Amino acid sequence: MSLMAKVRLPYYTPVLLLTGLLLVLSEALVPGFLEPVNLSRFLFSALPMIFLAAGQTLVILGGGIDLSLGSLLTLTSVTMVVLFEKVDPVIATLGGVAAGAVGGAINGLSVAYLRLQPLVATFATSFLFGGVSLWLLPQPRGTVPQEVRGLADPLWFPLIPLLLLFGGWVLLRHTPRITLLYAAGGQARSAYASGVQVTKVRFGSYVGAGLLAALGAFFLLLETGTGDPLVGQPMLLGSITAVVLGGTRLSGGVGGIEGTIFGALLLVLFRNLVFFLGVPSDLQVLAEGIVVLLALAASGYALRREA
Amino acid sequence: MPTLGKAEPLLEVRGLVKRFGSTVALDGAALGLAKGEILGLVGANGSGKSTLIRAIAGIVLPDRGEIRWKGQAFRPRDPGAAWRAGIAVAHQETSLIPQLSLWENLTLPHRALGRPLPTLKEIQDLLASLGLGIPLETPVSRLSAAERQLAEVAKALLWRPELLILDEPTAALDREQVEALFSRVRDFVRRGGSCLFVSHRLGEVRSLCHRILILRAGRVVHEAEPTSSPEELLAHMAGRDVSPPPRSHGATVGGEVLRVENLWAPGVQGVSLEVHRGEVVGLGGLQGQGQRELLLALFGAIPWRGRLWLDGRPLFPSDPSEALRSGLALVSGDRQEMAFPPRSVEENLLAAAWPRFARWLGAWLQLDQARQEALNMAKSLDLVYGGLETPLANLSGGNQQKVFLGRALLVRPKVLLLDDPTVGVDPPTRATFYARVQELANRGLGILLYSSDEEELLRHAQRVLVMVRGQVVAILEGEKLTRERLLAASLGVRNEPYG
Amino acid sequence: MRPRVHLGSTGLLFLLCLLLLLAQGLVQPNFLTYAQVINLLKIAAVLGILTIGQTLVVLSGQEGVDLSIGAVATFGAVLVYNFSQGKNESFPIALGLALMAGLSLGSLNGVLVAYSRLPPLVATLGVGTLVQGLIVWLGGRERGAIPPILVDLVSTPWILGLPGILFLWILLALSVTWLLRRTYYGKALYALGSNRRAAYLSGIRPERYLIWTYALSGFFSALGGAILLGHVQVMHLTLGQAYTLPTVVAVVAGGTLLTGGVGSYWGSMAGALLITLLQSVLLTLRIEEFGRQIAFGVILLGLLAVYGREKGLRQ
Repeated sequence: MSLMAKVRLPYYTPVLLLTGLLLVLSEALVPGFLEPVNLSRFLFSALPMIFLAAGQTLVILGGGIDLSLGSLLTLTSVTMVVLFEKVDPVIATLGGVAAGAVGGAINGLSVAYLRLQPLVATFATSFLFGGVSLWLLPQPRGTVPQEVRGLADPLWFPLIPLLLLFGGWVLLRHTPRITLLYAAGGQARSAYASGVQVTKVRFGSYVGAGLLAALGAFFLLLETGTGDPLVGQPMLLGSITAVVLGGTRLSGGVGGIEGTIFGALLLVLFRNLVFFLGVPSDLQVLAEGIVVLLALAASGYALRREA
Repeated sequence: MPTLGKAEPLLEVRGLVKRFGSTVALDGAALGLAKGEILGLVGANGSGKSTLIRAIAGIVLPDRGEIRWKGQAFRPRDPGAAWRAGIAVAHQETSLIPQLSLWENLTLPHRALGRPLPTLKEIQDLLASLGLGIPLETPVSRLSAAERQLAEVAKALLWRPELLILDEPTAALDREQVEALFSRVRDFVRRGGSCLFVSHRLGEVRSLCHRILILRAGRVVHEAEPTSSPEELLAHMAGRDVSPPPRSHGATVGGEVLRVENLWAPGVQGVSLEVHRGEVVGLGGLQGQGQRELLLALFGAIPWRGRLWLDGRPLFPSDPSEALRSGLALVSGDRQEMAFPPRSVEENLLAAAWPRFARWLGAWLQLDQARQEALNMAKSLDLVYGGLETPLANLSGGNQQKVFLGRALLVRPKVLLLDDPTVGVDPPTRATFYARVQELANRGLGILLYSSDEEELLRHAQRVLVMVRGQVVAILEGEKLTRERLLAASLGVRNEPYG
Repeated sequence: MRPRVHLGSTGLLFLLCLLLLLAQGLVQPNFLTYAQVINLLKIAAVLGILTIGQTLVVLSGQEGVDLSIGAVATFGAVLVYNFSQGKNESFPIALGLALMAGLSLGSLNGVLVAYSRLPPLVATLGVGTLVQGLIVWLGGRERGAIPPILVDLVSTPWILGLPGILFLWILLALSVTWLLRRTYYGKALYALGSNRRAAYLSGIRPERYLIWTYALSGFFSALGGAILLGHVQVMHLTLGQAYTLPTVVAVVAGGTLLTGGVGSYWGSMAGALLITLLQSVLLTLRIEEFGRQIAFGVILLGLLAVYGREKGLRQ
């Protein structure tokens, strides 16, 4: 049994340490990184990935997986951009969030109620959402209204959603709803026999993921200021990697959003580092690909040995 | 139906039928349980016990029949309905979530169904009375098998149900733990509860229950008093009369074909044995004492230590591929690990034998030759089927087992390992199966047979090694191979506290 | 448990394709010319060849899917493009290199799937991303060219105006069918796919055959990429990307169960034809890219609903 298990440290200890290490490394290699301005900018840029990965965490905790989250993020961001041109910003944002919920519901319906195989089903819905995004916004365009973008001006802005997410999770972690999620993901048969409505719980996890993806889209819009129908798909693999790095098991029932937050930070830190170290652009993708693959492989291998 | 006195039964089951594919699990099962009663339900592996429980618990939807609870029709749409009705089940395969803590598991039904949680004191008192002194934050994955079983029972008791159903709750428990459990159950019943106790441990059933029902082939065939003898109960479980069965005539036994020394594996503690050509050696004892693990180890399917000689040559099969190539073949009664359901009978028969028909390093298979051998094998096994192309799933359970035997035989093994190959199979098919096995023994094969049915062992094996907790505690042969001695050795002194 | 029966026989599928073809002709009267049909067949052939690997992977069971096919195909094309430099003499070596690369990348998939608990979809997605990185790195550097012999083999008509690619497809189809029905590998693959535990107990080593399967998928993907290059005759870095999803749909439409162990390559061929025809119909109806994406998503969902539903918790 690992040292961590014996001493009962939280599951996200390794990723927390790694993130800290990389933060120090970043400061060392790129002096001034930890200055408030830069730190704020860094955290701000990480928000979309953090929220997307948080959504993925919910689904994975429940024993599923969602390959459409990248496209769903795209869809919600496109919805918001299109609506910004037409209605009040608040309504536009809510519209995007609603789109996220609807997309999540479609996923939940397919996987939880129709019992379609989650991997391929969400793979299919990713094309559905991607297609709708293209339809709504064939070309990158649109502007986010200034009053909305202005929200992000204060340096401390990124801290709010981060703390809300982290704190919210810590508070909710032991509520019945979330415990039932862990049960359904840990061993669905046993949970079912114990009276858990596994189908409902799983459906809820997909809808929750959609909502969080929508929030991620919102922060992305704050950053980029414009709409892009192809933005989300590359983030998908990153969301899964962040979850895995954060200590949540792909098989379900173990982990949580705290770890995912650190995992996402780790990933973005690494990306930043690669960029600032002046790695040529054509090697950047490769470098990240290698790291992602190594992380996945390591987690997969660790899973196998524990089982 | 037994007379129940004045009151209407608390739980009643009438004519329950349930099929899984080609297997009939319940064939018109019926029972009645009165309030305040501890009703025992006994039956062999594959008799339908668990299916019946799961139907009452709302996990399995019966095809036909009726369940009545407190005089009303009871059709649980999901397990939550059963819990809410006041029925709590401690399942044989525990319904605990390994990743969650003990406390989270114990309170799971309360949280899932919106009931107020039991107080910490209530939980701790209950756990203490069961002898379970574990911190509540411990993840269940770290609990031992015995602790998990007790936790499963505790979870059911914490619900404060009207009916407590215990499905094989004592398999991993020692004598003290069983006594503690029984006293809690009696206490529960004294305070107005009722209990359905399912087990194949006859001694325990006889000491705890007010009445015993025997389940066989999916229906209740007999009702007995707790004072009935174990032999009588066993006879009804197996479906034969009480007189001793005719012993099949053993063939002349040849030289040693398999020799095992000091085999250690998960569940096996240092077993040594020999099998001679022409001999059928049986592995006896209660279920789950390591017999299966021994066979799997010999086949290389689980890691093991020790020494093995096949036909005098030392061997160390580290996976089934090697074992098969060396001349060891395994037939298991667990169809889930044997069957290729959508594939044809032909493919299922030949699944392990392809290396014999492969030329050019596997790039060319002699399909016609293989097909002919498969056809011959099917014929010699008296297979009841619709042709080689029939999907295996269309065959009855017994015939599927014959196919697996055929698969093992097509590799031309020297030793045949049989892991409860006829569990849940109907008697006529069983007869043909063992007739063939006997023929094989006559032709010089060495056979190691584990059966959960003592009668089968007595009838077909010349020598029986009785296993308790992974060790061979007795070797019975010739005159000493009797039902009484087999039972006595199986029940052992340490394991079974009563009877 | 009774296995789900797939859409009748493969013959029915081919019939469906014929119907669709006729329907297309009705919608667009001057469509049904010999040249047009040949063109459709060419496109179907590219998809069909890329679906070989996917068929093998899905057959291997336990939700086996290869999402790196598009990337590996592109990478194969990149290698042929860059290393042949457009010269016929260098083509064989360049092709050999591409095939070796496909084999290796596929083996990487295989190792991940066999030895870690990663679902194949995630593993191959990861490898696919890695290959994208390789493509960007390698593809952006040198300038290459397409060797004429490749175009000759693939696009130029051989007999009866039928281009080489069609003959290649038939040849490959026969080879794959032989692989599946007449070799030990084929028997092992079907066994693995229908019950991995039973296959293990029947003397089949799962890891070995899994790795082989994904390696072969990579091999055929790279081959498909080279052929694709000879077909479109233009090189760009997203050459094979759009083919990944359609290969999955083709396999599922062709009657191969996602759970594995049931199916054949002929089914996938019919599936590839079906998809190509569908795409053509959609194009004719002036449905743009977004509509096609939505259509494929919905179609795949529909196929899953018919073929691929999992067992419920309630029995």
